[in-house]
Amino acid sequence: MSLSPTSWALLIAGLVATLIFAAGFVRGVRAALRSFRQPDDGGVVGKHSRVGAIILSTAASGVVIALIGVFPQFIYAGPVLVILATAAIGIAFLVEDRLAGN
Amino acid sequence: MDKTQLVLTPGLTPGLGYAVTIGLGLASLVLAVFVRNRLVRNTHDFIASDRKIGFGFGVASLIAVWTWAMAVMMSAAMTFQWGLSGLFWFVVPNGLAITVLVPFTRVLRKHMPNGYTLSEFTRYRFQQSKVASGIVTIAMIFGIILEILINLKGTSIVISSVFGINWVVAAVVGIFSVLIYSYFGGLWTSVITATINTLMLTVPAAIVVTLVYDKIPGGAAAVFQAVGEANPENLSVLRWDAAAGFGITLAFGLLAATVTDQTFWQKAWSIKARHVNRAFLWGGILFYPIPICLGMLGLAGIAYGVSAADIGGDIAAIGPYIVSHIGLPAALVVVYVLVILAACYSTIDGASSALSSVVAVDVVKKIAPNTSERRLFILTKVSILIGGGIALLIVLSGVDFTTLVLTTYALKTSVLLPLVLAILWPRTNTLGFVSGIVLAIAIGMPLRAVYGELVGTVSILLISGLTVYLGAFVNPRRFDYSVLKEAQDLSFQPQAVAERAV
Repeated sequence: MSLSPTSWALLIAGLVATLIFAAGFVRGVRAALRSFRQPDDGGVVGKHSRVGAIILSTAASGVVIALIGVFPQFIYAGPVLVILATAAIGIAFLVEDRLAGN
Repeated sequence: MDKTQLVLTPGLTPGLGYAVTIGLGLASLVLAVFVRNRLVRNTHDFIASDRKIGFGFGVASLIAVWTWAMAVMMSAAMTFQWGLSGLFWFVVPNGLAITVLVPFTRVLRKHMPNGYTLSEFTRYRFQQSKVASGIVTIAMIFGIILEILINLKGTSIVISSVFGINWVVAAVVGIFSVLIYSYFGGLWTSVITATINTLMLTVPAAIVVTLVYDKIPGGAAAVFQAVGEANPENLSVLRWDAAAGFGITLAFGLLAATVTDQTFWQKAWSIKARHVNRAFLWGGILFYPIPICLGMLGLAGIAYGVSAADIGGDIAAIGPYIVSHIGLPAALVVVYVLVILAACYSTIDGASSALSSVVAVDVVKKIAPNTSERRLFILTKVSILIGGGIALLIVLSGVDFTTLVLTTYALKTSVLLPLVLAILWPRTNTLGFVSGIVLAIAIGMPLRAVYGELVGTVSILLISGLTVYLGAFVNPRRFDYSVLKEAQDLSFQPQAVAERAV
């Protein structure tokens, strides 16, 4: 089947996101194996409830859905955001050692 | 654009269906055995991963357990039924339901660092009250069984409709594929396989949805136009009938589902303390795009003028129907089925793992505190098989789930506000907590039966919340949260310590 330029772009972006995810996953598994029976107090639970971020993300999701009803191009917003989310999860693995308490 | 153009993709044989269903389970089993050998030595490892789940695994596993098989299909179904208002009311409360847990995880991890379950919290919070913790334990177990059977049913429907396999056989094969690997590795297996399943839920879903639009003459612009022509309100997120029809009730139901779901609390107590708040926040935020993406299949269904009757009367099937009839190669249809299977397996194994923690901490250790570590470990694992078996029997019996759904709904919604107040408000006491739940069920549920979902849900919440509030005035006392630190870590039991030394 022939692919549109949009599909090609998303396919390539998806591949890159998958690689980032995979790199993060491997790092996460290695960290888990390394930490087995090693002393690790896990740090201290954060003090903030993140209410601002919760409200902002909720509003943003609603705005994206509303925009689908205004611009047909936003039909692709879901697939694009999904691919960005995949990369973000990979990044979560890669940066976790550097994150202090939240 | 006409529905007569939609034809089933050839090559989707039962053999392929079995290969996909069993293959995913076997691949997970290999991983489970590896995890079992390297990361699990005792009950504490099995149900809490030694509280060493990192940020990445935390985020990915939260997304996977919250993305039910039905959620994959219902995002498209709600869009198909209500247009973008349906998608709005399905998606927004869904993501919010995870992020809203952050204030609670923050408080509970801080005050009760050695906790395992919400029932255990209730026990310490209400002076070892058997009634209070018993109610929460029952609500948890009912919720978990319901999670398993709903996902099992949803998956069997998809597998049977796409590959032509008998749904009973599909259910049996599906549950065995999940339970075998869940049995071995506990929470670590659940978290690691869920992370892989999250990858399967994301990129493949994005690619399949994009390719579906490639197959539609005129693409996104044509769909946009056809959807607007079918009903201009389809392109609005402000339809009141969608909000009243299901949106508001769903929003409360989803909040009740996460706040009272041990699947989430098990992770809240198992993710490293410094990452737990951030993991729940990222989990909720990164969840949003998945149903938004899959909801676009519902717009395609509207554009083609498909009716519920065309897809067997159940609008949940609109996503699978579009993907399997739009002209995609069989391999891509299989990829879509894998997306649904990934959602199903990760939710069932997450629920099974949560059940094992409830059984270990709130059933076995409560009834027989001196149970040896070895025996506890075995019972914990066996509980996974029993839970899956019960869910399978309910599905195979063909009974209507309505009673179970309503009972679970009643318990969870009734428990919601008393539990929230118990965590955040030190003046909440046993009298108010128990009375609030009992009165909410006794009065709120009949009101719901007579006046419908919206009135019933609001009544249950008001009755339970006000009763807790009144209870605080009848018996005014402040709870000392330091009591929660008395909860003991299972890994400090003598036998578990000996096992650690090996």
